[in-house]
Amino acid sequence: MEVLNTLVLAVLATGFLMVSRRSLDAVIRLYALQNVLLALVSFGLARGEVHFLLAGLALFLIKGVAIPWYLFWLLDRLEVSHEVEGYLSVSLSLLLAGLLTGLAFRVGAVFVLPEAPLPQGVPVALSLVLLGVLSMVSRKKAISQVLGFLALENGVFLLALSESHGLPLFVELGVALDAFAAVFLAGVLIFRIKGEMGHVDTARMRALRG
Amino acid sequence: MSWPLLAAFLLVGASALAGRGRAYPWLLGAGGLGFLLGGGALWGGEASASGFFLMLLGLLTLGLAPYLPDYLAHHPKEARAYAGIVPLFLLAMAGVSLAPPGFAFLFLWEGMALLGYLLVALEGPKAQEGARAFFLASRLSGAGLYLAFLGQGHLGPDWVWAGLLLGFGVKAALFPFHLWLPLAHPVAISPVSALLSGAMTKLGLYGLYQAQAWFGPPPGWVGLALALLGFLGAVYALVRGLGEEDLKGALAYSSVENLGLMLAALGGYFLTGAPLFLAAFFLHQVGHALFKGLLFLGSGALAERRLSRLGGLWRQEPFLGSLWLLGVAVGAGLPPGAVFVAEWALYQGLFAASGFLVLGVGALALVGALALYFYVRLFGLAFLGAARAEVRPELSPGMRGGLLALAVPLGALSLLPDFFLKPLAQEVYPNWGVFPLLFLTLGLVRWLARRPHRAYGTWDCGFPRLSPRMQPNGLGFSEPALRLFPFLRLEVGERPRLEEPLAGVYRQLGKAYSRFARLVQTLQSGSLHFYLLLQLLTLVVVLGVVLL
Repeated sequence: MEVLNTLVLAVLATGFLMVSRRSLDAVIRLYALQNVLLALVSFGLARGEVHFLLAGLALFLIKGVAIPWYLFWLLDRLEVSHEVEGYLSVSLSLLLAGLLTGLAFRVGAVFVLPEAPLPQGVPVALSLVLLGVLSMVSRKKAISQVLGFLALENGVFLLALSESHGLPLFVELGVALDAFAAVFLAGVLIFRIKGEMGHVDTARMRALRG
Repeated sequence: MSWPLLAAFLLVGASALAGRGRAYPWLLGAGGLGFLLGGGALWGGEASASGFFLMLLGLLTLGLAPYLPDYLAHHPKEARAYAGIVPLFLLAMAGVSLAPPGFAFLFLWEGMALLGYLLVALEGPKAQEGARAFFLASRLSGAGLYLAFLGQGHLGPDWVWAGLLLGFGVKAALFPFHLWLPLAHPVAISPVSALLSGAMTKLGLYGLYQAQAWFGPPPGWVGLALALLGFLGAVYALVRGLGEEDLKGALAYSSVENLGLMLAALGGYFLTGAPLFLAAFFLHQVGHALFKGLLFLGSGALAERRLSRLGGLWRQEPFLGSLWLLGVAVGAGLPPGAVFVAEWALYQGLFAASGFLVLGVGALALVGALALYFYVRLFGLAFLGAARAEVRPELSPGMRGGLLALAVPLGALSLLPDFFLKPLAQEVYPNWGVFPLLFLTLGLVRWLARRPHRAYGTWDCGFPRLSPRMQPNGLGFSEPALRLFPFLRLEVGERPRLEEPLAGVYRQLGKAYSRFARLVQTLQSGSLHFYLLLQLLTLVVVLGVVLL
């Protein structure tokens, strides 16, 4: 249990770091690390059940290796600066992240189901979701929106892991593959945006209005 | 489901695919026959309102089957789309009448509304306003139904019935939600108008009637509101229709009037439970569907629809004239027409009722007198007198067949209403005594008409010959009556005009709504981050609700 507690806290720490770091390379690396940690949580909950092990393995391979690798490749091909551009300073983002995490921990207990195997994971999962949306809101480059979405998706995964005895294996695999497909399509879209407009700054796209 | 109904669904579905081929009228007609037989079995067996509606739909389909292909041949624009969508619309209506209350019902209801909107909107830019009114009314109706269906079990019966009254009432042109109908129905092509007025509006009535089985008995105020608004709407629509220049528009106002009487009959049934009201309710529905279908289909033969430009059609096309006369006589509530029988039952029910409802007798009498005036004006201006413009009615054999297919059941229904109302086990009318009376009347008319009439006028004041333009025009004929009713303002002058304050109220509401919508639109700044921020705030608020 102690180990699992530590792992979950480490996941939360990676979430915080993802909000505060200024370099896209670092954020991607943190994302990979977060997935490795989540895979470890999945192994820790397994207690000999095979589908937990397989799901963790798939998580590690798809989200821990394939997606970060693809994102690095994307960043290189796009030829844009690797700096995170946002509306908020580091300290302000951290402050907001702290507030959102506080909210998540305050309400988290309500969402715990009676037989949840990992009750301490629920507030962390909620914080990951909120932090993911926060980074989507506050950052300008299209690729940071993708990263925010991925962090959010990890929160959902952690929630499923802590509330139930794991989803069926096919669902887990499907979700992981879905995330990869979504990122792949987002990559294609970002290339198109770059081709059309010569930049990937979402703050300068304002045509979507009534 | 019985096999005639199953066959009907398949046949009508096949006709949607067949397009305008040779088999089209046969498929549609056989489908109509299936609806008639299957619905008749249901109605005769257990007096089910679904069976009743299917029967009514079958009768209309039988009239439409020979008419539609011939009509579309003269109407090259979008003919293929009409031929495909009309059967789908029929299927949707039949589906609504068979669906259990729940998601399937709502789905079919909205689908029916959407198909009806398409049928109106296909007419092009000149139908735009009508199509929009139809669409908005459908949205309003849907909102009411969602309130009722989703609120069932959570909200009290008052709320559920308020939702039902709005949802079904809008479709059945309940006053003051009736304004969309005279905008939308006349602009569609005539066969579609016949379907909309004849069948679709009846589904609103069907829903209100079925709702007492689905949602429990209505609270007392529902019946009172239906009776009050029904009579109010009937009088209002007739007076407004007296000032209508468009022939089909006037027919649409008459639909509102008839629906008002049916709603009033249903309200009386809710209040007292007397079977006479039920007899009036059902008989009036099928009578109205047939005579209004006949009149709308007949108006499809005319290229000109302005009453002040029509005239003398009787001499040009006596076939059309005599069928129209039949429809008009039934519509005006002359004995022994089906509408008269229904009103007769309604009178009897009202006389037997206690309290407030007795006042309905006066309202019904006023409606009867106005309806007579209304239809004399309509028929007289269009069919009698001298022709004012060159309007050559075009009636192909198929169109004649369609008109006859509606006129024959209408006559049978008028003479033998008790046969039709057998499932209700309620005698409305001593029908056999009608025949000698009818013959006597016809003989009297014939005898009076035989007398030689003078070809000159003693008191013609030096105008030996009236030119067609000296005949009364649309507003001129009804001007004395319009002056009696203060809720409409008649402006006489170079161009006489009828002002309708109720429409002005709706226009103001529409403007206020658009202003509000524009205010909300400022949220749509175009900034992606702002949209995302709104989502984050929503998420936080939803999480915060947990703390309460």
